[in-house]
Amino acid sequence: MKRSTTTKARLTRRAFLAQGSAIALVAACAPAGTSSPSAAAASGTPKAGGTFVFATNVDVAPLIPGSTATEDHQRVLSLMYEGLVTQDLHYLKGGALPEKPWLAESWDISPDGLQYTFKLRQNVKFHDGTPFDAEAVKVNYERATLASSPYYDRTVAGLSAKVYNYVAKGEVVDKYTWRLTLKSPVGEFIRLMADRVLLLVSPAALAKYGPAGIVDNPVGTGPFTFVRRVPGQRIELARNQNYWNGAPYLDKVIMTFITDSQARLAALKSGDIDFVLAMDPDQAAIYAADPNVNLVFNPVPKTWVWMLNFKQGPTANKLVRQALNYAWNRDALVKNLLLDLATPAIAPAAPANPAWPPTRAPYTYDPEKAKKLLADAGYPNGFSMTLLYGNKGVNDQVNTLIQSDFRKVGVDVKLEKMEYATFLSIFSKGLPDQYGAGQTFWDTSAWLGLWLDSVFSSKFQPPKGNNRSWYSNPEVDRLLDEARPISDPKKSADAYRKVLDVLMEDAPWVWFYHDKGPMALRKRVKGLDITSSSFFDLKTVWLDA
Amino acid sequence: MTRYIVGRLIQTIPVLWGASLIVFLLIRLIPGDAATVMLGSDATPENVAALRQQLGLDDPIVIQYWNWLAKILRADLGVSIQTRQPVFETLVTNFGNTLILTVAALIIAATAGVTAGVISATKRQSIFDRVAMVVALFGNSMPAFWLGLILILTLGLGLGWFPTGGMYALRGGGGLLDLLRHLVLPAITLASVTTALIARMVRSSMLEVLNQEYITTARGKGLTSRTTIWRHAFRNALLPVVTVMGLQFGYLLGGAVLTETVFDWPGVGLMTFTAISTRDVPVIQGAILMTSTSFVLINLLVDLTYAYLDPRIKYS
Repeated sequence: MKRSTTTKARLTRRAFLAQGSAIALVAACAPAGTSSPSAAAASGTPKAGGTFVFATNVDVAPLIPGSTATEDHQRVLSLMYEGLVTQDLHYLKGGALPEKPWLAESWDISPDGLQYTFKLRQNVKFHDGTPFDAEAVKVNYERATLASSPYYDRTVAGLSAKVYNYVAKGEVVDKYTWRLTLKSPVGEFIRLMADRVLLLVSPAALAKYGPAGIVDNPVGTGPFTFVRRVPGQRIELARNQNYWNGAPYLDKVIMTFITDSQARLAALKSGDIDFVLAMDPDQAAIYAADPNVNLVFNPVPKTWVWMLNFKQGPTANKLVRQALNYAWNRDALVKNLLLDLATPAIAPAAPANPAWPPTRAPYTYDPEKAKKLLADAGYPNGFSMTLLYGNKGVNDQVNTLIQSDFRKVGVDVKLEKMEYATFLSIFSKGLPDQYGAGQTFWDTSAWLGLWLDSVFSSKFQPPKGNNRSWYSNPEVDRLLDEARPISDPKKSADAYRKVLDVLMEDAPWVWFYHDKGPMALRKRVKGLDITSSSFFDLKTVWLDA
Repeated sequence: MTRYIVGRLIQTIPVLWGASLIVFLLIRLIPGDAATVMLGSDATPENVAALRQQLGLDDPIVIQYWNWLAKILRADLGVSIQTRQPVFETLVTNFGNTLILTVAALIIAATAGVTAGVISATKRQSIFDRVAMVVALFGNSMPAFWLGLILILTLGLGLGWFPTGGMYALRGGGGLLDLLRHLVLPAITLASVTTALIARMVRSSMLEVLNQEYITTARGKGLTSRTTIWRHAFRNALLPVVTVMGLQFGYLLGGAVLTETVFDWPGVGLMTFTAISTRDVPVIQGAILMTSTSFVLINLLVDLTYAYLDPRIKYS
């Protein structure tokens, strides 16, 4: 494996020599979440036909809606299945994506914020011809909430709980009206309803194939229908000619899984595939230099962080945590190492979240201040700690660079890298005492407040939630409780901004950067809008020659 | 002979059982399970616990093993945890793909290796011999990753002669010709080390045989050089070569994972690798079982070939 790294480095250096700073230019021209005219709206006259092939680096879990919360999985499912609410996948103005109706035509919220009444689209049919109506929504609701339902699925129930935990009752009002009554008001509830754990399955398919059998027979309402899956290789979909919103242009969509990043690069350059969703940062220049390929950016609101141990060791001290936030060199990391393919994080939440940016001044690179804070905290000579992290989605060089920055202020970090599944099984139970920090990515795409809840509220320490650094601050808990019921978007953002401000002061984590999410798209692909969401609307996509 | 074969086949049962037991225990000794991986990093321990129970990962290990074994005896390898697809079907397809790649590589290796080896031995110290042995050393030392990438860059992307990855074209692919085009680069990559090994083995083995008295006798009888080399020397030099080829066949079956990764060849190596990182136990078990079975059978086949090549060897 070492040899391959050397080869990659050689190729990359050569590419850089040849192409100069092409990548920096491209990246600078397309910063995170910027606006450009919608590709779907402004790219010539669409033509029907053709097969669109895209490649990811992992095979996806069972094709059952709600069976996992990973984005690769939901991206595939979202082409076949739909929910009541979606995010606007053509919104290119930057910042948070607004919610918009999907299979619900509209919704009303009662004045007390407890009842959400969804008016459903009429004349929508599932791929098997079953009409879509409130009964179909009910069957799906019960699949995730009612243990006595014949279609109940424990995993779906577990993952849907982040939405349905707030719901007291779901009921059919009439054939095309569905109502959810909440236990207490949740301001971001509509945003939560756009979560792709809630995609809707044809009740007839559930009855015919059973809750497990739908894996081989996916039947939704989406713009593409299932053709076949070759496990470990590809999933093939075909145009849904009867799609309620007009048939898509593409005849077929193929998702293929290519584990090796060099193999993905070769496949895109040779034209075998049209779209690469994951690349190594040092490959961006090679992609950008290809005349047939556009480097595009998908700044999903993800933050790369070290979660610090709040319970145990030197990091339990606020001054130490603040010192670590002052101790790393932003320019060296983002410009020199990440080649401007990332932006430095100034808060745990990312720019595409409504409450961003916080009002408190961000941390800057100030090693002297860091040393002083460490001395004030009682560690004038620094200390040692261990970082726990997994081998997936991690840039090792980043951890090494930060390690060397921290060493300059006297903090000696031991890097403990583990195989990903092993890492996850330890980390998801909360940071063990012997670790000062755990490294991870947090994705806050679908919502903000409830994410803040799940990672910072003392109520959501494992096993209840993902507060894996054992952070606990009564003020944050109180502010979260206050913010939760607010439904007015601006007031809600203001309320959550207060939480962010306290977090900035408390520094429970060190937040490093947000990926700009470079992806490579062949120029013949038109009409594909890439927003800050992990999902794409392929309905508007067409192929030019 | 039949008794020997039946005996050998019976011996494979404890070997395979042992392999399955070791793999089963090893996979469970390492922390992390399929439920954790499937649900992703945002899942809470409560979510994971629910899925673990649904998947039966909470059952005692003995019960889990027994359930698996009971199914195996009914020729049921179970269902993949990650994709919920039947393991057997996927495995047969992917194993078939690896077999295609391996057989192609072995044909290349045997043809090129034997030819180079025999010529080198008969024209010892000639320019051909020296060049061939340097190339062989080079082939032996080149990592599959590097050679694969170079072939992709030159013959694939540069000249556009061959596809750079996959087994069939994703758009409108299919058919034997498409398969053969996709097969060329990975097969050459996979064959490189084995070709070199066979060439060197054939050369040294031939040199040894060519110095034997019966070869001198054959030459003294006035036989042509071609007859002496191919009928008398080569056949006797072939015995160690067959052993190496048999072992290499097993090695290629299991060791094709790097080549499969570089060329995105949907084989059993790549499948096992993915299954290990996602803790997909039924797939890992099935793949190991199939690979061990084939390894054992190939060894048996090699042993039987000895008798054909050297009639002095008798089985009883």
